[in-house]
Amino acid sequence: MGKTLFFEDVNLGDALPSLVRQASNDTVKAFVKVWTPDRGGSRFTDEGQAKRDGFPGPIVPGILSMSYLSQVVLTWADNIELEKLDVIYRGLILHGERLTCRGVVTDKGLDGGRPLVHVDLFMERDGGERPLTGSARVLVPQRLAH
Amino acid sequence: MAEEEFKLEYDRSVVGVEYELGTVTITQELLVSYAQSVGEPNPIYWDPEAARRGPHGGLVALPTLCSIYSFNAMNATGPDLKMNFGTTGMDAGAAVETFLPIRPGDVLRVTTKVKDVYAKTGRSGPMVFTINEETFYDQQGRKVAAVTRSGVRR
Repeated sequence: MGKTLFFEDVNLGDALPSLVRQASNDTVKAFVKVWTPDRGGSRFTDEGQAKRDGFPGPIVPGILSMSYLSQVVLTWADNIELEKLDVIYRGLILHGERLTCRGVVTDKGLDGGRPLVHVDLFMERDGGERPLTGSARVLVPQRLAH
Repeated sequence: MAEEEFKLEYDRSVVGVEYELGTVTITQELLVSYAQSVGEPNPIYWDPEAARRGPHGGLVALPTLCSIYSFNAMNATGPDLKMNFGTTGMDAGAAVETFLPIRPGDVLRVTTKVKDVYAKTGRSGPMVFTINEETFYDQQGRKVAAVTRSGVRR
């Protein structure tokens, strides 16, 4: 960490450093405890409830998967701001699945004088399937401003 | 299949109406426990000393923090669409937007509203999508974040 990034150094097509994430049962339970501490068994933590809801097993909450995708941007550099993150849930993610989170720069420009970079994001299974896709708008400071 | 074909019924008077959900008090403990629960690797979001040396001069909330505050999670009384459709629901998508840093000591007022309801037919049959938006205001009344959620029922 501690990396600094400037707008002038960002190019269309740049790949952000990828991250591998694998939410275990304990990981999901710890997240649910912060999210909804009063919640009992749910499709996210309880095998029986997940099956009654029609799922093959406990699933990873969408907002936890979304936070994993955000980390691709947040670890890119310390001096940038993730202003907006937009995701589409395209498939179930079960506990223990190994997922690679990736990002690619698709656009950059000044918007009202603000240096903004747009990034396409996706989460990929080893087989190539993408259960989560999205995009981010990122404020990246200009070197000139420093 | 269009909405009319399966007679989707819900309380349309709820759509567009803003409801108060309550307040969230932001503490250092909350910011750290949330960052650790999502496995955030960047220490500026969970180590107060690293945060102090970071761009904000102290801990700030991860941009996704506000996504955990829906009206279900806050045990609040929110809009009730009284929808007569579907047996199961899931998230279809979400968007989080941050306008100002959220810091320990902030007390956020949270509102919610149903922005839209619409029907679509997929491979598995008809589905109904509901779009909700939560808005977060700080103690000075400034809008600091917004979360838009798309849920699907089938």
